[in-house]
Amino acid sequence: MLGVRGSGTSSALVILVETSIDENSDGERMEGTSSDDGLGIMHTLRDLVLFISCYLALNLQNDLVVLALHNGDCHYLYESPKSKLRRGVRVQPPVSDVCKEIITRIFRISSSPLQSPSGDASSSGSESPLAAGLSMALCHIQRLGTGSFRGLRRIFCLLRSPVSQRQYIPMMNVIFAAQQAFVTIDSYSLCDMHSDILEQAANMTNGLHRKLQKDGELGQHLLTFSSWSQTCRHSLLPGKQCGVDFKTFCFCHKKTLQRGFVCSACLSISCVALKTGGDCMTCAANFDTCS
Amino acid sequence: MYEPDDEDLAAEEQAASLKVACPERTWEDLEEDETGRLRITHGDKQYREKRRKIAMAAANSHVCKGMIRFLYVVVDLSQAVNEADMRPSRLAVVSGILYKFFREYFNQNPLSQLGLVVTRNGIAERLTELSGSPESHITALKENLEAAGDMSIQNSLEQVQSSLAQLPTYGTREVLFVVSALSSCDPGNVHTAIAAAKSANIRVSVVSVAAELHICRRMTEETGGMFGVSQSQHHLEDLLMAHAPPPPLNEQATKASLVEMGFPQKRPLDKGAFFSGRGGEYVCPRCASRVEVNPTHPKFVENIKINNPVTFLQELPAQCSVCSLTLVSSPHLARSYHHLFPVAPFEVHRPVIMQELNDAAKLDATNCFACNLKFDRSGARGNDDAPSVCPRCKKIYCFQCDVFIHEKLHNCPGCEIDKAKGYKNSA
Repeated sequence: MLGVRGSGTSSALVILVETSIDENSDGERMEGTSSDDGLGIMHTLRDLVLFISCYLALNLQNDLVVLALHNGDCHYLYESPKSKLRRGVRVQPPVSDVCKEIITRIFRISSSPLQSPSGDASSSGSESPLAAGLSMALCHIQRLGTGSFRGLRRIFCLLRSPVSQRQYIPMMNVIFAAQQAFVTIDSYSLCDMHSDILEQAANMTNGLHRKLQKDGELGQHLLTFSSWSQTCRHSLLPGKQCGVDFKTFCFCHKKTLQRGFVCSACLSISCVALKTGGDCMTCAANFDTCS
Repeated sequence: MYEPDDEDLAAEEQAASLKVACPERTWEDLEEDETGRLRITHGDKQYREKRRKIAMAAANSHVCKGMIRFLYVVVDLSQAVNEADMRPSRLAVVSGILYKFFREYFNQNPLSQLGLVVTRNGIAERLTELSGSPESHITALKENLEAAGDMSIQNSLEQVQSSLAQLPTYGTREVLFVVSALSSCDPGNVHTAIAAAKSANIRVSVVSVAAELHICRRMTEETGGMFGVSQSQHHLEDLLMAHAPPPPLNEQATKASLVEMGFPQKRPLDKGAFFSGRGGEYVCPRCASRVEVNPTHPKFVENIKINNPVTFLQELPAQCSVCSLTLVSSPHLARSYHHLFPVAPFEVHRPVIMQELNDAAKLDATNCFACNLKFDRSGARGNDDAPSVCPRCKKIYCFQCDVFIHEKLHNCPGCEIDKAKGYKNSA
């Protein structure tokens, strides 16, 4: 299903996985009290490795990149080799080596001390830089696209913490760039919080978004839904997907709006109409008349 | 998902015919240096051109822009477009670029509108009224590509002005002529039409395919527009595409104002709803009436499905049919926010900077931060992989990523990581 339409159609997949270990919840899970709910980091990685081996086994031409979001940073874990070509066919390393490399890299990253001198205390509790990770993924896909690569291209995110509204603008930039490049963004969130922005990303790029809570669901979901290629997505039913809520926030108070005032010069949104002669708060354009 | 459509194939054919016509423009790679010797600059020109473009865009980023535009494109379909000085013909080249331009225009100006006028046989025909759907303009132009007679500047201007003069003042009023002919057939005095356009605050721009016309130059100078004559097919595309980003705001002509808009939510219709025969899926937030948005022609719907998987972008923006409130969705507005928060232009990465970096950073510096490409230290691969460095986060990028980040993505990954570190996890 992953681009097995003949050996000519290969696909490229970038996986973004959040590997930061949250001491509060993961510590318990790893020690066993709630380890069987299937949301701990070890379970996630186990299911991910299963998915990766399935993906690589389906087509030798498939491209794979794995990125880790770890304690506020973003690292490349694995990248399919480019140069090794034999009679036009790429020689991939065995699947077991790929998985081994990914796991060793993750352990190396999590055991290495934090690099930024000021970040020791702060970066462990900070938000995952999802927008940055997606930007890097798009840059990588863009480089693939400059060659003769014309296959299917996807980004797949596995998130374990919520994304806040503060990443709204960079996230929207990523979504539009992905839309233009025909890249699909699929995502799974493994936390209790609902992620609006990933839902919008999936909706606007023809992808899937799922929120998982129950045990052991991830592996099954990955092997069924995430292995669908774009071509067969039209003919398969991905199950119930509710309407997407495109929420609008005003720039001034971050309130959700149904109706607001938009500056005609910069298109920023405010929730109150300014008095005649006021200035725009974002771009300082002067309003002579208020409509 | 990506499937080459007819337009792609047509473009490939065009490129092939161009190759046959002029096998290689080898002389363009030659350049004279200070000592008078000839040097081969392989792709150097393109590289510098791209750098210049990014720098220009950054320099203009502080200027207030007219984000809401009303633009009429006037296409000259006189006999002159059948000339074959561009291959296969001027008409094929111009129309191909215009299709691209329509899509790009709505990409960059989500709330703006565009209309299409063609001029032939000495008259001007309005093919489409001002509207927000690129596909309808593309289909209209495709169906009306017969060229005949002369073009008429005065008739076109009068045709356009009658529509533009009624529009609200917060939007910029623009006309873009794509001219191939070397003469204009006018019933009266063109200069009065130009003066009328000027007094109606219409900005007239001209892209000429053939040569400079005095009347066109005069027209753009009077109304504050841009004038360009294309030197080649690529140059023509550059000239037209330069009109896609929003122009700087003309403070006298357009008054910035707060425009009330609604952000409706999509609600599926109840089966037993009273208006189920007519009303649409959106509810106007001001008057609570159900709104039927842009009832599109089935032909366009088919087109949209192929070219743009995101159908909702075609439904909004729209106007409430009862209280005429403008209805938009938040992604439309978000499309233009990169103008507000631009990425700073990257600097050329030099070995001097390399020594200033500490050891940890030096290790990172061997690969592009965004795409993980290994830099070739010998520099044999030329300018395509020349490293650039972000002045804010000091991360190093390859040139391809540099261009992609500034032209398409509008996010610097390194800066985003730094920003995210500042956000405490609220959960």
